[in-house]
Amino acid sequence: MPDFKPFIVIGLALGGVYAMSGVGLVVLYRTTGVLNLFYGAVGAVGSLTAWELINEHGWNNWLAFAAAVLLGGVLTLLYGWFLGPPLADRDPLVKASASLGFALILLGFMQWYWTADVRSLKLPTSDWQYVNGWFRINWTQGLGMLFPIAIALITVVFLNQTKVGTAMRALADNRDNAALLGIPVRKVEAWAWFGSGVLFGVGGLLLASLVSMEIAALSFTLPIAALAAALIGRVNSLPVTVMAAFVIGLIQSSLGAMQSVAQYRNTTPFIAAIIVLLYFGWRGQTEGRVA
Amino acid sequence: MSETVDTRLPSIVTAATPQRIATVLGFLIFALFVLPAVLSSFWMKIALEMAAYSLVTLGLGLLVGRVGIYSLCQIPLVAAGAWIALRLHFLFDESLPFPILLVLTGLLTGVLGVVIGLPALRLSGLYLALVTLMAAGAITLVLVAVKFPNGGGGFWGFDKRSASGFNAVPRPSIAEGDVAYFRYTVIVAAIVFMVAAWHIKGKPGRAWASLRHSEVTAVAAGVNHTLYKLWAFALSAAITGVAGGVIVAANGVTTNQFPVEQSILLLAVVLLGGVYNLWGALVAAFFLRVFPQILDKELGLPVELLTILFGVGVMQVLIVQPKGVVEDLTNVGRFIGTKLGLIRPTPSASASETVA
Amino acid sequence: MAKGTTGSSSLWKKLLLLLAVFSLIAASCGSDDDSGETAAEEPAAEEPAAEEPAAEEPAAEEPAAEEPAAEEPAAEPAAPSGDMIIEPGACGLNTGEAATGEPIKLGGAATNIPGVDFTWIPKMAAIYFDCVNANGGIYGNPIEYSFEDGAPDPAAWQAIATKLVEDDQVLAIVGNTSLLECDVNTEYYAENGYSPIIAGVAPGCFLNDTWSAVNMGPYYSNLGGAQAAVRKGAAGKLVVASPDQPGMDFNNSSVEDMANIAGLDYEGILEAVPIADPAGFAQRLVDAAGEGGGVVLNFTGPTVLPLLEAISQQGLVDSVIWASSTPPNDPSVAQALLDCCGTDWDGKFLINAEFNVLDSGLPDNNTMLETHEAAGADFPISAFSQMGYLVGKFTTEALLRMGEGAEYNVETVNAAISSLTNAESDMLCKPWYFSNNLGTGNVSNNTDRTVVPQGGAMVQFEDCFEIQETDNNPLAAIRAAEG
Repeated sequence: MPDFKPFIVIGLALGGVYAMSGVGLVVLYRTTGVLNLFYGAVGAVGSLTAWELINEHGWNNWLAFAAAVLLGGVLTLLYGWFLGPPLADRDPLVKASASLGFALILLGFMQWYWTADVRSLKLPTSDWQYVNGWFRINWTQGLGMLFPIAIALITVVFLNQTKVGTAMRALADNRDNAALLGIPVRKVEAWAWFGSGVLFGVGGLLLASLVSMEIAALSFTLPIAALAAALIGRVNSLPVTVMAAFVIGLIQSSLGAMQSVAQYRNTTPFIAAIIVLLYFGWRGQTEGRVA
Repeated sequence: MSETVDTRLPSIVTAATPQRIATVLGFLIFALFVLPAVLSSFWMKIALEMAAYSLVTLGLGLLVGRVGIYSLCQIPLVAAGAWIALRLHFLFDESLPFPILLVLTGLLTGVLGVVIGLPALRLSGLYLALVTLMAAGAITLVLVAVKFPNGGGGFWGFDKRSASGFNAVPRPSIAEGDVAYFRYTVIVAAIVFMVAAWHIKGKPGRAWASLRHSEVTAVAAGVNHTLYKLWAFALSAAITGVAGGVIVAANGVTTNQFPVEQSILLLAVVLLGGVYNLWGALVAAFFLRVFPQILDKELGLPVELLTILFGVGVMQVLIVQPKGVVEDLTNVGRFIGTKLGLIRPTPSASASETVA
Repeated sequence: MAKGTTGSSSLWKKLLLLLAVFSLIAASCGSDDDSGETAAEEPAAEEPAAEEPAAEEPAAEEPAAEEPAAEEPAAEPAAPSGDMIIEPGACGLNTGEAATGEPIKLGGAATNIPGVDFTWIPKMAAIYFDCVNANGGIYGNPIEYSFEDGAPDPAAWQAIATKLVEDDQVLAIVGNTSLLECDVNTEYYAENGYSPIIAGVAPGCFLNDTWSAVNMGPYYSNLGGAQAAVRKGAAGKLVVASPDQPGMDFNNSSVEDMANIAGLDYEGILEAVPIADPAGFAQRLVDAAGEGGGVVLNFTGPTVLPLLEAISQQGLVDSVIWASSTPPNDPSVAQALLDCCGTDWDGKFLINAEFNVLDSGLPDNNTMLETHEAAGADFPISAFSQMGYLVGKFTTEALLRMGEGAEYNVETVNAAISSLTNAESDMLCKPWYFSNNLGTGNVSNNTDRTVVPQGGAMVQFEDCFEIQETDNNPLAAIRAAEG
């Protein structure tokens, strides 16, 4: 029986990072009807920018992280502001594909500008750790676990209590109706784009710190578990998305403790998403939703 | 509902006009005889890659353009085709004639396509695309773990102590040189393109068009949507599998050659090339294999620029010009033809024209 | 740099203290080196027991000290096995005059994908050739060198070889470094009469007499790392982890051979890169090796860094003995380790180094640093640049040994390269040669060092030792042929 304890901490931390981006995906989809597939690339741009600001321009760490998160929000907002309207009436598939186009633009830029050098981005929180006989956890991992839960709660409160939040819910419910009722659709959508972009930025920073700064992986393969989690939540339910993200992170990590299957553990998010999507398809639950 | 642009569907019947036949023949002669005469060995190899990858882009173009299915699992299918070809090659003690190997590979990959397509049938649009993306991720990871067969035993046929990280099927004896194999590939591609055109012209093509336009109406009119959707999956996968077989003999394969993001790039390039027109597959293959070389070797520009260009291109295509670059090219060709008096101007070029 | 903002002064104090302690220990143990700054060559001389030095060339071990005047041999056609024409640290003939004659066209290629940039090797070779051209070239003929880059796709590598050979019509293939090429292009180059002088990665680079690499590649470097781990006391089990890429099963197998020799258990692991959960993977490695075991890592710097960071964060640095193949022998890795983990890793990551430390202060190393600096190169100094320098120097030496007024074509140039012997450099433990045509593949670089990170730099930990001969590698036969 392998020792699972360290893998549980690691799995929960990874799951938290997935949850972070997953929440962003759900909020954005519910408000604008866009399934954003460039969220990973935005996070990657943010973390590489933070790396550059710290290491090439001597910025203070926290300032650089703030800049990275802000950049995530701004990039996502820019896309939404300029490309949201021309695509607004199109099929969700077309919207998602267009977002892939933006992901390619960001990827090409990153690979050109930042090439393939040795990099690591360490959040100061990784220095602080808590150890007892049972487990060892550092604060980046702790943040990774707790932050998304907090974010999800804040998001729920925001959607329910604030004016913009209620407007977002109205948009999610019926866009045309909301517009007729005088809700400033573009402004509300802009908030959704920006807010989700901030979450992608945070997710990217945590992923870069916990996993790797390799550009293509950071843009596509690593964050894909967030998409899987959002899909399990049917890009609708925040609690389900957060739960799913933690479960995926846990399973993925725990499989690493078992030598016989460890090699296949990274297929976890893909297989989870496939199973759930097929289940929805079989139950006919996709009508009127994403598809 | 909201398909304001996508409703501009391809014509259901594509006539084999003399002009079109002449264009196709001219193109074949150009590819088979002019290109080998003018290209250097290096560019010959690149042309060979383009010919092989035109089948990959054709396979995806059919799904996207004809049935409206966006698949992000095509590059793993190329890898699967290559895997199947290698496995068959070693299974039959390296004695299977190449054309038979290609056909078997195509058929088995087609079956794989059905296996992927069957459970996904009840999903539509975006969910289906996402399932293919997830399948691509899983297949890629599994492939890296099991690796391409190299003559070892067991189902996976991989021998750990073998040093070589590269596997290939020998080229057919009549086409061992690059030029000969290029011609061989062009002919294989031409046959496959004709099979595709025949499908589009025939009953399946009409069924696809009606399904694409409105699934409900099509089913009401008696179109068996399960059969024809699966047919599309099978055909696309079979074509892609043949491409895998051609590639494994052209250059050989290695496991980390097929990353997930390649499938994303492929979809972008196929959309950019144009999915409503079979020539679009050639344009896409050109973008995918030749353009990077021109950029790098001739213009000395960074290849990453191309990823950016493809990104911009695919957004432009999705927003403004759904018919892709091939439509612009066709318009230019038509303009020149009209100027030269070769063809009569058509009143509305974009309304119903497609070359098949 | 990143961590310099907080608590840096106390960090520096600790570091200095540690350095002092380390050097004291090192000195008192009679270790042959303190921090690798000096004397890297001398111990090599007092250690000949560890190797069978080229018998015909006893002077080879002190290339730095006594090298005969080198300008003169230019006049007479140098004997192929004679002394070096290039003086230590010199660029070719070192005349100071630019070469203006008929160019000698050479070509190369390297893998360049995110995470794996081998172009540093041909880039450094190009810098050396530029320096040669500014210093008399090959008896007045400048070397015209260019290189291609490619992804690990067999089609790309076949196309590149075709371009170099048939389109560009280069006279020699120089500095190629690829994850794949040696498995793909062996026959093609051999058929066309080329003997590429390269830096090898794929197993095929060391299994065919077509190629000869200035380095020893992951198969042997893993073995050297395993040797270092065993010497440091790894007990119970040896584990080796490589990227999940083609040929890596084979590269791992050298550690299995070492485990058998040392009477230890063995486990080989392949892991997809970049490692998706370094923390989990670190734990998995420690679990696999067991307390006190040995783990050899075979990853590039960018991949291994997050792993080392995770190991340090989880307090696993002392759980097992950590060793590595060559790629992380790179000062930027040492610096990044200092940034991330303070002194956790000092002296604890045994990296098999196929070349001398980068600050050895010896002539070739200094020339590499100076020319790299002067060229304003866009890549860092590392083991890769040493490979590039050596490829450049040895190719130049081969061309010079053809004598003044020689005819340069594919046949003559490749004959000169493939017959090169006694090529000396202070970066290597012993002279290099292209091939002894045993049919076993060439592994001329088969004696090397171990380095460790120490206070943000890589310093020598063990001086030159012989890579282990095993039943599955041809080193015994190769050394016998070396005499």
